[in-house]
Amino acid sequence: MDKLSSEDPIRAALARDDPVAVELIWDRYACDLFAFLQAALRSRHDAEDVLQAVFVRIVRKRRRLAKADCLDAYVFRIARNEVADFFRRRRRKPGETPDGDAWLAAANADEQRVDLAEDLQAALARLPQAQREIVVLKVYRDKTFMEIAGMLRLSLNTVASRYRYGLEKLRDLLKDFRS
Amino acid sequence: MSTPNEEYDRIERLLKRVRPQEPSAELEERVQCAAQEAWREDTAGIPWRIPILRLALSTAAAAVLVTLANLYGDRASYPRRAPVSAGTYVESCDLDIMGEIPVSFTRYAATTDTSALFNHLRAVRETLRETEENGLPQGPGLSDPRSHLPPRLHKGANA
Repeated sequence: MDKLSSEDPIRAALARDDPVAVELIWDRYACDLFAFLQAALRSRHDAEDVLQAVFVRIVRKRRRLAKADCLDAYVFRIARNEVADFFRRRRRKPGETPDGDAWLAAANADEQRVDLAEDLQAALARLPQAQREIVVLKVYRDKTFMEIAGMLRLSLNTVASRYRYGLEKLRDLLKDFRS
Repeated sequence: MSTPNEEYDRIERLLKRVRPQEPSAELEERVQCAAQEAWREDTAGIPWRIPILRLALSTAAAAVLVTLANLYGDRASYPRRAPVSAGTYVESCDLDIMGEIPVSFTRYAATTDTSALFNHLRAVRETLRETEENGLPQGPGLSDPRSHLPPRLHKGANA
């Protein structure tokens, strides 16, 4: 398995207490975590701050991480805790709109439709946080339901139903769009 | 009319026209610097933390052990109730046999005032000697072929 083969060097580096583990964890998790954090926080700047806090926390918890059954689940648990801490610190509720900074960008360089990104961002922002996180991991990080269930420690049915509810809501919100 | 799956595919295609920002090189550098710094701080903190932690843990374990030993030691040495049938009577009033205190009483005897015990034994010996000399029973207990053990032991054993 690809995931297992990428976990092994991380576990080995953690077992050696080798700082190279930070780079390996970055390579393995940074993109997934950053997408997840942007979905949770709906802000690129906030996601950057929280990503840094997540990595610092990972380093401090590295001995436990080395013994964790599932690295993905442990790393994403840290990320979710940091998101919760962030909301607590900022006294911001997950549903409140943050100061606008774009966290979605056009996928193709030739598609310079800023308004599309803004509209999709606004539509995603109206989803509950739990649904939005799953939609983003599934659509943008190409994760399977099984992988998301493992990452977020949720049942497969919960992940699938949250995704379906999320898409149904997006369908209503984006009914004026033509693909 | 499109099916739900077609609708979902359409939404997914639409969503894929945009994507979340990737972490920039500056962000990678910043995060890795912070993480490496945290690693160094954490590693530097370990050498003095581990012995202190071990000392604290061993102190706590020793305190728990001493407390438990005191607690259960007191309970173990507390006088137990001896079975009456085993300790109350002996078959003969022979002094040699009377000197052999039943095992069930030895634990109690260790916690009894020894001078009082000797005094009592001396009194019993006197009584027996008088009985042998006079040939008459001096007390109700000696009319029975089985003699009673000292009343103090008897009382203490039933306490």
